[in-house]
Formats: sequence, C-alpha cells, structure tokens
Amino acid sequence: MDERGESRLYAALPTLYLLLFFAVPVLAVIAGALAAGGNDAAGLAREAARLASTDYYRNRIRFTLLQATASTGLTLLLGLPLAYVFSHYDFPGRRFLRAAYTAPFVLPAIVVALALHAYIGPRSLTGLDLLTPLGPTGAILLAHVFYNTSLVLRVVGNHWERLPPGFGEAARTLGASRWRALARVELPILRPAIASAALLVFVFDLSSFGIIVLLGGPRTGTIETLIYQELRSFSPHYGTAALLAMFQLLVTYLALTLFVVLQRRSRTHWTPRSRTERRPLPRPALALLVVATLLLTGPPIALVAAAFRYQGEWSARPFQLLASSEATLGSYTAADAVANSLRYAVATLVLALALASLAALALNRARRAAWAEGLLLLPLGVSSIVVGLGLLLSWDGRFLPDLRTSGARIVLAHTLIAFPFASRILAPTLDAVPPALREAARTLGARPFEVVRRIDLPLAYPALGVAAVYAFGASLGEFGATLMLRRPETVTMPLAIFEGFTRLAPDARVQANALAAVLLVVALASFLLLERLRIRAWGEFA
Amino acid sequence: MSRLRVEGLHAAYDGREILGGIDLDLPAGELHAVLGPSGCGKSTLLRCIAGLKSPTSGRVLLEDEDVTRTSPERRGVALLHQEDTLFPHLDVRQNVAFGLRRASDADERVRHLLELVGLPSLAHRRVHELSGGERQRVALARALAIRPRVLLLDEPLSHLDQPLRVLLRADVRRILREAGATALYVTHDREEAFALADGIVLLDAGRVVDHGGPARIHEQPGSAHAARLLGRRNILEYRRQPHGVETPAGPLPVALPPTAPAQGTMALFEEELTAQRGGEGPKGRVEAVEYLGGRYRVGVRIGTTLLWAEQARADVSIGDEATLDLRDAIPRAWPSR
Repeated sequence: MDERGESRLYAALPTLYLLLFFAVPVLAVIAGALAAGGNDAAGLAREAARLASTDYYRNRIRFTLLQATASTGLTLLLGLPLAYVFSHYDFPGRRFLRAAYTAPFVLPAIVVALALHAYIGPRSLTGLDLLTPLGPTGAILLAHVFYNTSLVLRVVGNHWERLPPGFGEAARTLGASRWRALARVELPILRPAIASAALLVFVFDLSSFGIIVLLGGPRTGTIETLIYQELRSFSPHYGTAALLAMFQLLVTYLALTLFVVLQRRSRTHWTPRSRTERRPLPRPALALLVVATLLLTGPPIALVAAAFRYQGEWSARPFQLLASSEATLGSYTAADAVANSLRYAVATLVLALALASLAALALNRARRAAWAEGLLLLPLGVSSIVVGLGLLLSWDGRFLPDLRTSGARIVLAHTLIAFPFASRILAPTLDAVPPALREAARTLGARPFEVVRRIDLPLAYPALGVAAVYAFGASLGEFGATLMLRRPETVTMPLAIFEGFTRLAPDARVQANALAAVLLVVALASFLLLERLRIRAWGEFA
Repeated sequence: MSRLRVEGLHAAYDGREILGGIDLDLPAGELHAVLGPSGCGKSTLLRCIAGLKSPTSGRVLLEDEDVTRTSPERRGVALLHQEDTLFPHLDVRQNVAFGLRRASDADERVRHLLELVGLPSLAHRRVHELSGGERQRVALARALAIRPRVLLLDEPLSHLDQPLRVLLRADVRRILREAGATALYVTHDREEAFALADGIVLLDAGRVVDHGGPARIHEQPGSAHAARLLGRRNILEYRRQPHGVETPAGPLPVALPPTAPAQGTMALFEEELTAQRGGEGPKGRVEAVEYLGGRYRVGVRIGTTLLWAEQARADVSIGDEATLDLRDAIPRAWPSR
C-alpha cells in the first residue's frame, strides 16, 4: 500500500462522519427549506431577492460583516504589538503574562459574556459601567477582542519568536532603523502568519453566537442570530434561515481556504529556534502590557468575584444554591447540567480524538489540496445553529435512525465542531516527523499500521494531549448547537448559565454567575494542562 | 549467485526520468559503492531497491526472487538514510531492537551489535544525548539487527565533520565485514568510495557508466565518460601518428598501447605528467598552480587546451613558459562513440 492508498484509508471514517453528520444535516436544512416553502429553486431565488431588498436583512448582513471586520482589526491592533513585545523584550513575569493573555481562547463564549458583565456591566462589582455607554456593538467588539487576541498572540507570536534575529540584524547593519527593519523585513516575513491568524479571527467573529445573543441585546443581530430567530420564531421561516446559512457557509469556506493557502506559506523554512537576546522593557511597551492586563485578565477575575456576591454581601450562598437539589434554574438542577456537560465532553474527547487522528494522518500522507483542507475546516466556521437544526431534521427516523431523544446527537454535534480543529493541532506535529523516520521503520520491517502505532503516535503524544484538552473544552463550552438540540434532560452548563442569566427569577442570575465561575475554573484548569503539554508539542495553535 | 540484481530499472519523478535503465549485480558479502555527482539518481536507485519508490519499469531481484512489487517491510533491505533517522522517542537499545520484535534472542543480539559498533555502554542513552558519530553507529547497528539481505547506505557519513568521517569510514568497513553484510553504499566522495568498496558503480544521469573493482576502475576506466566522472582532467580526442598522437593540443609524443584504436578519446593521468622548465616535450604557458597539500597541480596551456600535471614540487609559477614531460604517461584510450 502506498502513501496515497494509506491516506484514502485513513480519510474514510472522518469523511463518512462529515457526510453523515455535516453534509446530510446541511442538505436536510436546504431540503427542509424548499419543502417548508412548498416551492422550488425559483421560490428560493425569489426569497433571496426579497432578503437582498429588505432593509432589515440587508442591515443585519452588513452589520455581521462589519462587526467581524472591525473585531478582527481591533484584535490585530492589540494582538500584533503584544506579539512583538513578547518576542522582543524580556521582563519579569513574561511567561506568566503570556499564559494569562492566551487563556481567554479556551473560555466558553457564554462565560466571556458573563465575565464582561461582571467586570464592566451595569451591575459590576466596582460600579463602573462601561457596557452601557459602549452600547451593544461596542460590547460585542470588546468581547471579540478579549476572545481572539490570544489567537493572534499565539499564531503570530510563535512565528515571531522563532524568527532568527539575523534577518532584522542584517537589515540594521545595512542601515535600516529599528522601525524600518520591522516594517520592511520582519513584518513581510511574518505576513502569511498574520494573514492566516486574521482570517481565523474573522471566521470566529463571523459565526459568533453566544456573545451576540448575550451582549447584543434585542436589536442587534448577525446572520447567526437571524438564523436562530427565523427558526425559533412562532412560524419558522426555513427558507430564509437556509438562505442565510448558505451565504454564511460560502463566506466561511472562502476565508478558510484562503487561510489554508496562507498557512502553507507561513511554514517556517528557517531553523526554528528561540531568540537568544531580549531587550529590557521600554515604557510604551509597559503601557501596552497594563492595558492588555486590564482587558484580558480583568473579566475572569471579576466573574469569580461576582460569583461570591449575594444580595450585596460576600457569600458562598450562590454555590450553596447551586449545590442544593432544588431545581431553581428550571426543570433541572445545576448538578444535572454539570453531569451532562462532563459526560458529553468525555464522549466528545474520545470520538473527536479518534477522528482527528485519522484525519491528521490522512492529511499527512496525502498530497494535500487546499480546497480539501478548507472543506475539513468548514464545520469550524459553520453556524452551530445550522448544525444543530440539521441534526434535528435529518436524524429523525425517516431515512436515518431517530436520535431525537438521545443525548448522542449532542456528542455528535460537539464532535463535529471539535474534531476538525483538533486535526489541525495534530497535523503539523505529524508533518514535523521527518519522512525518513517512517521510511527507516518500513525498511526495518514495520508495516504501514505499525509505523503509525510505533512511530507517528508516540511522537505525537504531546499534541494528542493538546488536541484532547481542546476537544474537551470545545464540548464543555459549546452553546449554539446544544441550544438547538436542547431537551430538558440534555441541559449543559452553558445552557443552564444562559437560561439562568436571562430568567427573571431572583436567584437565577446569581446561580448563573456561580455556574459560570465553575465553568471558568474548569476551562482554566484544562488550559493549564494544555500549557504544560504545549511545551513539547508543535502545533500551529499550540 | 548474486545477492542483489537490478535489471533495466527505470524510475521517474513527476514524469521526469531519474533512472534510465540500470543493470546491476551485487555478489553476496561484498560492499559496493555507488559513486556519482549529485542528482545522478543514486538515492532514487536505493529507494527503488528498498521499495520506497516504485520503478516505472525494470526488476529488482533479491537472491533471485523478484521483489519489484514487494512492500519495503517484507524485503529485508535496511536503508541507512543520509539524515539522522534514530527514533527520538526510543532509547538506543529500543532503536536497535526496533526490527527484532519477535526474536527471542533480541536482547543478546542488541548487546552484540552495540559491541560491534563500539558503543556497548550506551544502551540506555536517549538518542538526543548522542553525538553525530554515535548516532550513525547506532543507526548502523539498528539496520544490521534485522540481518538484512542487502544493506543500503545513503551517504551515511556526509553530515559528519571531515576528520570524524575518515575515522568512521574505516569503522563502517570493519563492522560490515564482521557482520558479513552485503551492502550498497552511495556516496559522491571519490576517496570514500575507493577507501571502502570492493566494487565501484559509477552512476551518471541515471545510467551506470562503469562497474568494477576499485583498482580496475581507477587504472583503466571503462570509458572517457567514466574517466571524466572520476575527476580526470586531461581528456582529449586523438589520432594515432607514427611518433605519438595528434590532438587538439597539437602533436603529443606519447606511446599509445598497441591495442588502442587508431583514433578515439584518451585520458592522460595528471600524476603521470610533469610540468617543468626546459626539457623535452610540448611547451606552453603556466596558467594555474594549485597547492594540494604535499603536491601541486599545474595547468599548462598547450595550443588551445589546458593540460594538468600533478607533481611533488611546483618548479614553475603562473606565467612561466613550461615544458610538459610526457615520458611516463600511459594514455588510456577508447574508441570515439
């Protein structure tokens, strides 16, 4: 069996999974759209024309693209200087701060929203209310910057740190000023990394759901929340929802394919090594660190603090309420939500890790096509609402088994969201294994599967750990698809937090804060684990 | 019976032909060097023999068994790569034992091999703690562990420093002898090839140019092409004359062997020529004097041709008028193609 054959074999299961739990559901949404309208393609085209000419939809689509663009721009504005500072300067607490700044990436959107409320919301601990003057749009942008700065810092920072100082130094000896060396030499070399980070941030901002729902308020909406509203309204507009979903899918796919193309260019061709010399911190950089610390570490701390407030007093009462078996959150208790979340997360971890390993092996053994890689990443950017709805519509016992009463479909949806990203964590590690190692193993008598078992997997252990933690965290924090698939007995922590936050019951919000704090601590604990593993792993997001 | 036979092997990458019909015989227990410039197809040849690359046509036979379509792990052909291929997640012992899973005497064999390569005390070292030379010794032990029918070595020493390379070269030869291995050793280093091998395969542009014992290859290259590949510089078209030969450099008073064709191509070995002041022979201007450490290489322009002599003393300087002493020269001559 040659490498191409191997690649096809490994690709089989992930492809089947994507077909059954992504392609089929998405097709079901489209079919449902056509059927629900009782019309044909022409009807859909009319609908598209209607949407394009309706101010309401036009404005929201425009807002979606504008907020994603603005969020991305602001994220770069903070992330790039930070990446520069961390790769060029040395200061006490450097490693700690870097870890603290990258932690927000693992936080569930719902936690981020609550944390911002606790930090600078109308009822914040300090009484400082910035969210009201910022308005919904400002709050959304802020949350996106909070969320994604870590991504820029990681992707670009990693490249910058491995950039040998020789490039900049050569420019300096040729008469370039520090700024000129930066602008003419280092930034152009880093351009593919910057662009790919920016595209990823853009895609995340585009499909952001929890943050828009919780911080946007009733009159702010994006394509994603529009889809949700169209589907959840009293008389669901499937056609409209499907059209919107297709539009979002298209934009996402283009962005992701571009991302893959750029990322290949950013593969480091120089010998990776750490910069040896870092300069002491100058004053402007210090100011930047103060701002970043306030923005990036404040909200989580505020959330934990807020969780200990009860009726204006410091108290552990919120947690006692949580722990009590009274179902004050709704028809379920917090313990139910925690148990569900953990169950789904563990199942997702196992399933996603298996699929991600196969997908990464398939990618590694194949001559990759950018369009195929973009396709694999698509579930990452696709509306989780659409995924949820598609699973509802397709696995209903008509053609495929009925999963409507099963918690399995939540695991299936979480896995769909987690495994493509996990495979992107694994693939670079496998790519970093010199092909000669596998060849040597083959000539020493190892069959292709033995090479996987005895060479690839052992060498990828640290990255497997990172991918596992990531999949676990992705499931724990998943909101949109879980919301669509919600049944009383499948409530997870993010749903409980959301419902507690939006309910009017006196203790509900208190419990939501406490539960969010619990989720935050779990996410941060897994992040610390990730940091330990990261030291040995070499993924593009690691 | 030959251990390895290659018949009419063609191979291509992306439609570009790399091997253009290789025929090769390797007797059991011998070490042959494949010598050729970079890009001549040396590594591709090894990869085809190892089964890591499929030839477009031709056959590979091991002990008369056709293995052309056999997968690499079932050929019993170990390949020692140019780059370091020790498995970083395994220690030295585990690396050497990699191919020995089911062997009951694996421990004993590993100990024996580590002794053979001179590293008996390093069994439990992590591979990143080893020096470059130690790594290649371990890789050699690992390859020998499976008792390969043929051991393929792809410039295994090229990443090492020159002094270490020379040292290890002698060791590799001794180890392979003691292990009774049959091996094909790819290199672009002439000295290495001649120092190591029982036979030399000259490869150029995907074809075997010459194949024979080192002395024969050195003394009597099979063709002008082979002589050129071996670094011979004085290669001239000639026509036999009553007292020597007529060449583009003019008439040269050399004694052609009686068996040489009346006209063809000949090589004058540099070390058989001497450039000196005065004396008998063709005259020209000295254009180059290179010090080779203990010897000099002198280039003299005779007519339009630059002829080279290698000699113990310089005697002449650039710009001098010099005479080329051809009295000791034994021209190697081949018919023109």
